Amino acid sequence: MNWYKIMADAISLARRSLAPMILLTILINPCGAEEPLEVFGFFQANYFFVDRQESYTNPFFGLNRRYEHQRLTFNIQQLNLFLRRELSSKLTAWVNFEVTNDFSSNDGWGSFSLEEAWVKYFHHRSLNIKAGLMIPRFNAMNEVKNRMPFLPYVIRPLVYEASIEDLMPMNRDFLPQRAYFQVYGLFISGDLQYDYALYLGNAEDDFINDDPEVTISAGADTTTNVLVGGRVGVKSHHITAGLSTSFDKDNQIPIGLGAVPRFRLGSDLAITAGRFTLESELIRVLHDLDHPELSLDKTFLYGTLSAQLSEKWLLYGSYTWLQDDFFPSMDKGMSGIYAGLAFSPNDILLKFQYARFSIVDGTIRASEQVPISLITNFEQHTLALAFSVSF
Amino acid sequence: MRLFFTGLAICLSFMMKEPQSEKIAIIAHAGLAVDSVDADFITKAYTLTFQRWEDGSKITVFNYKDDTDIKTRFYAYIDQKPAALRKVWLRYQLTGEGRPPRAVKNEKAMLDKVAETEGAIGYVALERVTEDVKIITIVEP
Repeated sequence: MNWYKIMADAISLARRSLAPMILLTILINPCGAEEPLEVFGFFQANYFFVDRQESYTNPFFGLNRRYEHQRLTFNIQQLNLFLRRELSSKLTAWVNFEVTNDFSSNDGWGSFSLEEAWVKYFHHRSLNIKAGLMIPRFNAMNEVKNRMPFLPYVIRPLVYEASIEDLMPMNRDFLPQRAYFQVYGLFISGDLQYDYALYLGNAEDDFINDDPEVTISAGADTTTNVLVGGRVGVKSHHITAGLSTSFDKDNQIPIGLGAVPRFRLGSDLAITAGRFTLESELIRVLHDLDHPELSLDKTFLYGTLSAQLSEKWLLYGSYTWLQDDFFPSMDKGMSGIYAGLAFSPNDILLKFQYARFSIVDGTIRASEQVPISLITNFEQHTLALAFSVSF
Repeated sequence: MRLFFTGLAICLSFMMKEPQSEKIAIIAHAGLAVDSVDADFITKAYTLTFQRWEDGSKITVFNYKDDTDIKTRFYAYIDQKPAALRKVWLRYQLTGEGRPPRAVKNEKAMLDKVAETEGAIGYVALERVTEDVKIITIVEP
């Protein structure tokens, strides 16, 4: 049994046993608990108008197909319920339930999930240890990508936006989704703050067993693969910057490539000058593949320039771009341009956003499902109105 | 004429309020082992970078619910914009890493809460400070 297998077993055990224990610990009033149980949360209601145009052409075969699609959607995009308790001066427990897309078990849509359940041991601000289920630190936005009252966006930068996974099912490849053990902290030197994080997690979700018929319990990792990742960052009064990385394996067994070693490299930078803030991120996903003719590599970037017009009004514009060497039609990339306005009178955040996504001359290679290669052009305009309510 | 101006001056001196102290006192729980802190510490406590005193006990931060003159001057002292500060607090709160300052209605409530909460800090006008709390910094106007 090697160290890799031991770590994988330990993480698997933590995944199955620690989260329920944390839930029990936080709900039962433990003797000596420093603070009462805090219960709070938020929800976001969305109103979307979507106008999508797609075309698929092959000049050699004289093929030209065009599709237009419009829809108007109202929904409760997300509702989160948080439970927090300071168990002692050193220990804090945290549970996060998430409900998405008008969840209804009766109608079979939306989802209800335990997103986080962790306990944190505070030794010093330079050394904190978290165990349980958590969202790992990777770039600035990963931890808060689903915290809608914190974000001015209705539609988030591409890889952070769950509601357009129909366009980009490879989104999850860009970000480590969850970890089970994390060490992190903060060092202060003069006006600068340096932060770090190191974490361990399971293999990616595609390796998790979701078939209750097989002997391995549903939800268990079926591999000895481990996610290892970390981040270092620096912050001054006006600038925040960070570098993130992770290593795990990409499940490409269905297309005969096996479990492919995957590196994620991320960087983030935020600069504030007066009323203006520029936030940006870059993520590069690299694969160690034995087939030189194939590439699974991916790139994502976004930049948002925002202006705090007053204490309550925020105006912003964003550019976001995603490229995937392998995924059909994404070889030349998809770009998104956002413009939005957010108004925060109190515990309600009102949001208005326009978003335009486009693919110009993307390629769909010939395959069993698509007998001839196609050139894709795609354009989607979205008008979105939303409000986030904290409670 | 001289009598008129003298009378006017006397009337005005009665009509004018006694000048208020513009100094702000950063106050803490009376039992706190720390006797003084600098502006950098106060800023880091209110931005939740520091959530513990040096001895490991918890810092409980109090702030005013409504926008008041003293709140505006305090934010200027810690060099923070209200919107930016709210965003910092929200990030800590929504990730489970900390809780925003507890809100109080007025200076009386601030004094009461700081006096009764171990490890607490807050701020009031210097002239309102009572013996139930300790002053750890005085902010000059």
